Amino acid sequence: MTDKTLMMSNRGRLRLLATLALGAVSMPLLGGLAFGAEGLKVAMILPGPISDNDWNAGGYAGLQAAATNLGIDVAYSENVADADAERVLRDYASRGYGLIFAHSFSYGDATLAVAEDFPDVKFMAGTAQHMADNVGTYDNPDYQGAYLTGMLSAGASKSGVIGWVGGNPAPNMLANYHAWADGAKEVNPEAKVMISWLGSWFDPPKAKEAAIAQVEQGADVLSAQSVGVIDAAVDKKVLVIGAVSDQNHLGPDAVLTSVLWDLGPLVTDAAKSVIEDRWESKAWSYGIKEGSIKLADFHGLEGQVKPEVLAAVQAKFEAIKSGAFEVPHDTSMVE
Amino acid sequence: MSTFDAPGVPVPAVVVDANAARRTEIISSLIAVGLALAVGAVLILAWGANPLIAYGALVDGAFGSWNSLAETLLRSIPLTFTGLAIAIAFRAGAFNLGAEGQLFLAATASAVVGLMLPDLPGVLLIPTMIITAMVVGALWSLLAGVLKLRFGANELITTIMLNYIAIFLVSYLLRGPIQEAAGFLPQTERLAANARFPALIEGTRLHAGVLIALLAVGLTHFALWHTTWGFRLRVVGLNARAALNAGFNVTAITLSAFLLSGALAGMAGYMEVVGVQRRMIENLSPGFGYTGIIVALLGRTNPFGVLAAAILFAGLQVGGSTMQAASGVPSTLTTIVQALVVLFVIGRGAFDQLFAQRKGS
Repeated sequence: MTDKTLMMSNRGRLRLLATLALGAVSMPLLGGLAFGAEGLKVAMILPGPISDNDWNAGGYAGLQAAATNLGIDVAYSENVADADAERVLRDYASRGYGLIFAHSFSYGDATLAVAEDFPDVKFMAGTAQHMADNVGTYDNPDYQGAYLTGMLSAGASKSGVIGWVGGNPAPNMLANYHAWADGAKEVNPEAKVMISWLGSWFDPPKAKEAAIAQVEQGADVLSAQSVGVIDAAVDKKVLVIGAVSDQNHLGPDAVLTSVLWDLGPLVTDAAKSVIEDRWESKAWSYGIKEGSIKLADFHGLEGQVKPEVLAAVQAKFEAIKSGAFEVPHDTSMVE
Repeated sequence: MSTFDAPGVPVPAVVVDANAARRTEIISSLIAVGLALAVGAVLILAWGANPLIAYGALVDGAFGSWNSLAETLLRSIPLTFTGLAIAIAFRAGAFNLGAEGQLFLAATASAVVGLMLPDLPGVLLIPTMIITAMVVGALWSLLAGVLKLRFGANELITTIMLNYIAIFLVSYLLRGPIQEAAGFLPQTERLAANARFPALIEGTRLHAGVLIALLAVGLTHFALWHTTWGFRLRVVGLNARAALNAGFNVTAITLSAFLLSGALAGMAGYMEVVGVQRRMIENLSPGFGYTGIIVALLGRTNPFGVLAAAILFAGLQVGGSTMQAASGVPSTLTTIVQALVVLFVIGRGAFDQLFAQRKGS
């Protein structure tokens, strides 16, 4: 290859690059016209699929409820990896979304970084630990329900061993576990409570394996804080507590009840407060008192639990609702 | 293997003009992208959406505002580095499918060094972290090179297997020795501000590291085409036996290609740690090491081609999520388009043969 042909090919490539660069630079001018600001638009980014009947389905249902209640535009991105969270948040913020829900504990950092560059956009960081002027947090106080299902689990267990399987030791997960164990101990002080972390928010095969391992060590009631556990309970013919939505359809003979989480009121109230310009940065928590946390129907499985335990659970639910009993909120690390 | 082996893309003997051959390569890469987008459009139609609206949203999401343009360029940085890493190995006749593992280990090492020296001024800290990343990436890649040259172990297998070892080792470290003090997530502490690059466009994440990526493209091009080492490397890649007969030290040249390849992959990891996450996290890379293979292939293992392909793929990935939000077409469609590009680039060999037969008969 001679120098001459080399130079010519260089020129050809330069031309290609120049064309690309030209295209890249002229695009922003065209794109700016496509998006105008009118009305509040709300977005949510989620760490897993919205079809998981769990954490992500709960977030999505809350978003859609707000869209129906207020007639506002909503958009969502599912399966957003932690590494991509900041990019997707920035994309929504720069496209005129006025309220953005970052629906994962692990998006906390990314949310704070984006919020700093978009002071006029309000952010709601799910289960996050730090707030800013335009970053509020919200949680899933399902630990309140977990206390009740802990009582049920100990009341239904014949072996006295129950097992809890969850994703990562984030504070909301720890609170759920501790409340569940506390509830179980109230019914049976001798109850043995097992715990497994998956190291991932969504890994059904791993969750199933961990749950089966617990059953093989004697657990006969499980708490499914991760997708895949119910599958294991069905296979191993043990009882299981569902999470977020009524998961009985996943195992009609296995899912004793589920801790329901209705995020609709919270998303709706947050969006309304932005529209009315009275949104404030705070830790939003909607639990049993606000009607966001409930227990699902037993679907005929209540016979598995002693009647006196059922009555005690009902009484405890009323006590939490009236404020007579406060479920301990313990987020200390396990193991 | 010749269809896969980009340096050996058969140039018909009648074509003496290298410029024309290069032009054919660029055109056929563009055709591959066009065909992939066309098939993607059919899939969007089958999904029940309008391809024009979906692609419009994709382009808008990738280049439609300063922020999206910045995000696309930001994402092209690791893709450029892994693309270059794989291209260099290809040119030397070796396959480095281990860029992902080299990226993870190098990223972790540079983050650890950065956290150990928080008081070092940026002018010293940044080069120290860069050198750490390059050395660790190069050493991990060298392992596969030594296994190949000493024991004849196929690097297609070893480099892939070494990915798993590296990624799981990093997972272990992030849950144990180097985990942040808060201890909730598998990640290190945040790097100090003096380890970061200044922003290039205010209010976006695009940082000065993109200039280093451009510099790397230029240097790689210069090394390949304007140095004796580059000439020998290409000869080894085209015909190792001929290189041996010409008296070249084939072993040393191949090892140097593995080293440089690993160092470039390490730079991809460094850039993600310093420029995007500002700490080491468990799932740092969504497969940059693997997408780099496609980038190198589409860029015809030419450094400037790699740059263009990296920007294209970054745009596809960045615009994909906007497309999903705006038109409801799942962003996985852009993954399908990326895979189709590979099929059409590789499939080009079949077309060439078809045309050759036509002409011949």
